[in-house]
Amino acid sequence: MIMRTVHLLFLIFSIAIQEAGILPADGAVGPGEKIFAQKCSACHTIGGGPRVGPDLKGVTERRERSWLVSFISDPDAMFSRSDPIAVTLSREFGNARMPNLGLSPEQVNAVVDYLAAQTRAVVSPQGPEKTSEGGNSHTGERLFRGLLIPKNRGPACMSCHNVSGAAALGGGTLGPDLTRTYIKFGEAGTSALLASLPFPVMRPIYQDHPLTSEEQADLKSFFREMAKRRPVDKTPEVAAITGVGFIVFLILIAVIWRNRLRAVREALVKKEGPEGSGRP
Amino acid sequence: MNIRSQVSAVFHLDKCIGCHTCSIACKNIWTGRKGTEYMWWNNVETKPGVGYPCLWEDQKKYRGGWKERNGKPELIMHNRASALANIFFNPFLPRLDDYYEPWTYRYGDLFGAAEGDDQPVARPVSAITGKEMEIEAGPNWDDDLSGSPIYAANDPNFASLNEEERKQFFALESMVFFYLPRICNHCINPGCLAACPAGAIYKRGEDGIVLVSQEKCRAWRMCITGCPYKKTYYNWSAGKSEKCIFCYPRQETGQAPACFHSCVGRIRYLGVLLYDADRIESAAGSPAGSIARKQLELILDPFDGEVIKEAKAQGIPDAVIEYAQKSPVYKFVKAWNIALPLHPEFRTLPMLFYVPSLLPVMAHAKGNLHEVGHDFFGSPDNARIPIRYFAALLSEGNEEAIRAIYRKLVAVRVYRRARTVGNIPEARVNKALDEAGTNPDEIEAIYRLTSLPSVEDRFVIPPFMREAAIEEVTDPLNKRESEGAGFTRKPKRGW
Repeated sequence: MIMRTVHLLFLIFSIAIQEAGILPADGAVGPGEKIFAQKCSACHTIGGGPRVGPDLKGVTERRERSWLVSFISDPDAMFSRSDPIAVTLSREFGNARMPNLGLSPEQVNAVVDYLAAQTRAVVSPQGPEKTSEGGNSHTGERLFRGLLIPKNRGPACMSCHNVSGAAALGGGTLGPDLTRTYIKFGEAGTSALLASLPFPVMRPIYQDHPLTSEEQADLKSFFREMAKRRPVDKTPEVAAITGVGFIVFLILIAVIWRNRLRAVREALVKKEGPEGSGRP
Repeated sequence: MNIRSQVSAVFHLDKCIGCHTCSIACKNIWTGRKGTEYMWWNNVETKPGVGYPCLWEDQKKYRGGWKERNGKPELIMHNRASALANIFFNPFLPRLDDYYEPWTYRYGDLFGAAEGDDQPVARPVSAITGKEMEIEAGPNWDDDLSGSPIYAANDPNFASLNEEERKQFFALESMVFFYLPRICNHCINPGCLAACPAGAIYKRGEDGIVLVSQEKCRAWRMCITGCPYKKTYYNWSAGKSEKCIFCYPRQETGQAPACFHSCVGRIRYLGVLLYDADRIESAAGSPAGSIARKQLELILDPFDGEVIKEAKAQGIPDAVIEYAQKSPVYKFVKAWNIALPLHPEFRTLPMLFYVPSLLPVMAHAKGNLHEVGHDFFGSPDNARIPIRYFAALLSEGNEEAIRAIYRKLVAVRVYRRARTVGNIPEARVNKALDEAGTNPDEIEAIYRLTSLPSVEDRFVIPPFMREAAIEEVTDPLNKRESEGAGFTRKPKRGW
């Protein structure tokens, strides 16, 4: 649960400072759609089901426009004055809070217009997610574990992340466990994330070492495989090994310095007993 | 021959009354500072006893001093590799409790306590933490055999004694103890100096005083283990090690060190010795049993024309040679052979020598009467303290060396008694002189320097010639021309 929350917060913060869209801008689309693609689609779908945040299909009917505008413009303000809807939603989505996207009033209006238009549309704009079969999950695993160096020499995923069964003691724990990434973000979300790696910690690392499209496909395929497993917490094993190692370390010290000088006077007094210590 | 001069000392144990005045004089001058509360650069121990710090003579515990390997001395505590391995943790350090936790009393309570039915009491408080404490040990806790079953009974020098001899120390009528005042020995081959990884300890070339540079000391605390006499101490406040400085600021101005000057029993003698530095290694690495003899061989005869010529050629000032000839230490150690270094088996070649004490005569029960000294002082082997005890202390177990000294000390007493009281037959006096291999002139000289010495006789402090020593490294004129006389160190802002 905690991992999940951290995971969500990572994503949200990353989007908050994201300046480039993760989807290519289409010349034919309106400003609202473009903004949605850039700023919202990593967490929200319209008719595609809830992701990190709720499905936004019909949101203009569920909420008043003024509430939507003020929430999108400054979500922090809404949370700080404990807006009941904002708080309930946040609780519903694992305590995730929508970040401030830094949109101008015109952009906010454009997005809300786009959401309203999509709600009115008879046909859902996003059909059921297609599963692309490209990519080799075996190569993906090798990339993940660092057995294969990415073409642009980016670091291996396992330096910071774990997936179920990646290694005896699991992978890194700086980033979240990625076993269920595919389930959480879906096909499109995973593709988008792999393409841009927008998280604030990852961005500077991969900025000059981006993944190639084949590598992205391989990794996505790997994550799709992994999604069949359950995440395994290796913390107890690591803690146990650390504990045992510490005890072994202490024993080693005790053996190496076994001839060290111990209490001299105390030992004398102890040996002879309290009588005759010269004390009245 | 590489001739060096060394200011050294003789302590005459028969004269020590165990008053600790020397310790107090030293404490008042040098170790009243924060971090030095537990230090006694000069201390007086009761023997038999465990001393300060507890059992310091037991090098199986403290690992001080040297051992011999292929005719060369090697530190017991470590070699190069283990020194590096233990650089951040010296495993053989005494704990504060092994010295003692210094304390004071809350005297203010005696005056400031609220009125009540009971007398106010000054509680003991730790001089380090200020917290109330139970006093369990002190730097002279086994003074006058107090706490004998714990402390005196565990004297490391008892190792060579049998059960009966040990009991004799504590049995009524034969009970015996004596005092052993100790300061830094300013050794020729110091263990502290050799153990220091920072090179902070040095032996002054012109007078042999061993000092710890407070600027170079890096608190590795190897010297504390390296010194088998436990005469370097760690100042926990300054983070530096400190030791007896032989009161060099006093000596440089012609005064005796504070502990010497204040000595009530006048047991201490100070004078300069000349020794041959080329033979240090072979002396320190000589086979067990011959170390003390080899050390005494290092000390050169200042009357020997060859030595004088060589000393002058090597830059020893004429005045120092002259003082070496007048040195009372030379007389006790070399001319009369009645003083020995403490625990020569530690191989540090200590330059502080002790005249063993003869102690009171034994009384022998004869029916209802106790007869005191029926054969005046008897034979050395009837002494109160077994010869073997002093042999363990001063001569690596060589009992003959102690017996020879005893015979001479007895001869002095027999001869002087015959002269002053006149109740000893001439034959007995001559027998004592013959046995000791001495003559009336020497006896008179020993008697005069033991019993009637003036301050000038006891402390023959050589001129330290600091001006000459300084000129070797700096030219004072150079400083005068460029910087004036006022500064010896460059200020941070620059000149």
